[in-house]
Amino acid sequence: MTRDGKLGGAMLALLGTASLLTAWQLIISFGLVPEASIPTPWSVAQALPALLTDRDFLNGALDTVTSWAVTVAIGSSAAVVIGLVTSSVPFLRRPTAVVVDTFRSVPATALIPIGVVFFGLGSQMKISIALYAIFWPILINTVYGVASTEPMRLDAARSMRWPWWRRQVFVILPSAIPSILTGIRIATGVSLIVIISTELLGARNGVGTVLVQYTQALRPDVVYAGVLLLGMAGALLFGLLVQGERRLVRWASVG
Amino acid sequence: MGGVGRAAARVAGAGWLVALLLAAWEVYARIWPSVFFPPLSEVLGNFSRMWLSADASSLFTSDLLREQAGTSLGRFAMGWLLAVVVGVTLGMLLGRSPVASRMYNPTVRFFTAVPNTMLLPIAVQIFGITSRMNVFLIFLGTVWVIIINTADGVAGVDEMWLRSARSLRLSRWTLYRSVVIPAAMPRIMTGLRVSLGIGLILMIISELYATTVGLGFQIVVAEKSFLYVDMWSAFVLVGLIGIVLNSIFTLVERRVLRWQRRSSLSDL
Repeated sequence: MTRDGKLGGAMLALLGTASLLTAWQLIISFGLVPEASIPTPWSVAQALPALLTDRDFLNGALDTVTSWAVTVAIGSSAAVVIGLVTSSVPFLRRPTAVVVDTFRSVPATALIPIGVVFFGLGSQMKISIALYAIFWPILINTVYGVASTEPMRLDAARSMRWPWWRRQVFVILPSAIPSILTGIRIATGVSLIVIISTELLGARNGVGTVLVQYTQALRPDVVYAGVLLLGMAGALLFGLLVQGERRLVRWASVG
Repeated sequence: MGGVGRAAARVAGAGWLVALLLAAWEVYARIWPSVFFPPLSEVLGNFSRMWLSADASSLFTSDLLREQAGTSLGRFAMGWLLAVVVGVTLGMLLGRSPVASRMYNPTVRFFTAVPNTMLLPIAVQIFGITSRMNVFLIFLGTVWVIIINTADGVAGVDEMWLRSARSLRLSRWTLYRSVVIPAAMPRIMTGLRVSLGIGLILMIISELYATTVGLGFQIVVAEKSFLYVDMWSAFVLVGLIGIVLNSIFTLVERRVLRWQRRSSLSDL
């Protein structure tokens, strides 16, 4: 895109966002909804600095991000390894697909009360429920990715008598990476949803816990500011992931 | 790709790993008994007592099942179908108009990135503890994925197809019905599939958080009253409902996209 085009795009984006913010303000000004339930955009913006210096909020955010990072790290490495192993054993392929289809259809949030009974209200509960939620999408994407390996390359590797692990690392894994990354991208979003759900339902620490306290204190402006911050952080993260994915995929398609 | 019958036979043949895992549950719970983790057989026994009945006229379901599952699924259907209609319409608009898509793309991306459950306290504040709260949350949580995927699908329609359609002087209606929508269908279905999963997650979480009736509420009530077998059988019911809804979706998806395999094969 040219420089001009980019500038025009940014202007349009600003215009669009501004039009929605105006609509939000107008809805409140005309009294279509009570101001007690929806604060004005301005008061939400004013609540931002207070929230950013709130120690509880920052600690909560740190706790949420830590649980989330641990979940994604454990979940993706476990799912990728299991995906590679089950894919290389022919009689396990179909049954694995059926297992994944069965268990991923079970909404992970239904496990929260069970998780609380087992693990209490700490990080262990958050992480284990989120692990359940992300394991299946990454596993299925790994399996799909492995299945998309060019058979010719596999034959070539086999004719060179490469051992199992070498075929996995140098042939199969590179071909599967685009699909695996898609799975991980889905997983980052889902795990955050699940972790925050556990916090809303009473986990001891986390962003969700803090925002529930603000809801109970009847400070909707702070709650909206929190949602705004989380959304921006999420959008930023999502953008980074897509960027990283593009780089890796470019390399993979060359390789 | 075979008929449904053959596919069903294959599924049955491939289901042994699921059976093995369920058997492992039973064995584990028998060897290390725990009130929190009852054996599967006990859960299933309780399941049939709680949720099933001998009455064939109500399809062997108990009153409790019809009442609770009916409420939950009603909320889910209302929120999700509303999101499908609104999401596909808005997605088409954004996909067909480069200006509109540049204007509103940041907002849509933003809302896709907000962890949807975070909207729960807000929904409760706006609607109170009513079914409208659940419907609103499910709608707001699922509509963005549908918009993005529809817009991407519509924007990705082959320019050539559009030009040939125009040179045939197809009316606007025919253009959408026979060119744009079919071409965007795979992406639209992807969006719908993802939104179905999110919608179910939100249906349950909103009922766990604050309601007085529904499947999620049943799980919490059982947990709070230390009736762990009840809790597990309510969980199994939720799981089964999720599995059934996803299977129905897969069937619909196969039917809607049955032309796609052929075209992708000819692409090779």
